[in-house]
Amino acid sequence: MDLHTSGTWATTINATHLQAGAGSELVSTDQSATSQIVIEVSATAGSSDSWRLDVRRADSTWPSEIGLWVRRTGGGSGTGSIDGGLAWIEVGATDISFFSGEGDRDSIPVQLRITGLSLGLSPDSFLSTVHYSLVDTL
Amino acid sequence: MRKPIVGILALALFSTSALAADTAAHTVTVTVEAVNEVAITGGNVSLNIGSSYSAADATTADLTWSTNESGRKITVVSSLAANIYPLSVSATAVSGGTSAGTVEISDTPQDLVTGISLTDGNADLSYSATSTAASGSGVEAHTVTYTILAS
Repeated sequence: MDLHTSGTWATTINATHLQAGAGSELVSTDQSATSQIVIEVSATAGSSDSWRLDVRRADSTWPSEIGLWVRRTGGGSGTGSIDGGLAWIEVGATDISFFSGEGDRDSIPVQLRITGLSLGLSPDSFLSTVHYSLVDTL
Repeated sequence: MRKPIVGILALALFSTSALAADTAAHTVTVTVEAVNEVAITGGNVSLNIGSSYSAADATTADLTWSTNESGRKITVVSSLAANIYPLSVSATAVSGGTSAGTVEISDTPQDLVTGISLTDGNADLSYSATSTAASGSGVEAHTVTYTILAS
């Protein structure tokens, strides 16, 4: 079975993210579009072929106070099924189960969110790579 | 005695969990820009100097700010190159900084609040103005500008 993702997420935090202009803190979260990332599972053995999608991240430069979260925002399409992953999941350095399914599924939409934003975060750029692993669970 | 022939049956053990996996990845980039915002709330201030040759307003205007940088200050400057009736301001009840005390406003920027770092804050603005008998009567209109910048 094969896994394919499309899309990346780049966001900029600036004065427009103040809760109420000068004299207020930044909003604590920022999130992507609901279909920022699209996932495709293909080449399965059929609509009964079970699989699990794990997710983890590898930071290049990333402040410890910023959390990175993912969730599935739709079921995609295909002859199989899909389950789980509709609630926000915090992505860490080790694999964690994101969602599971059976058979081929494409156009599965994924949204990302960062948390922990504050004025304590000095101007800088941060980069992390989110890795997805498709596991054949038979 | 013939040695028994022991046949070793090799069993291939198959795991019932993961057999095959495929991977994909994408990046997440977060750019944090400098945030340095200052604002005045409360509108314009009018001071009427009477026979006491002084007037003060401490109830109308407030100063608010937000910054995600270290070592900031707020300066105050007037649009008037010269004035007949000295105008002063002080930042009181300061949160998120340190008041520089009472500042006579001129057309040269002067520190009003210092020690601002990575925070939001606010202060009450107290204005005062004076005149002398020799100053006579008149009207002076200042546009007072507050700026947050590096110390």
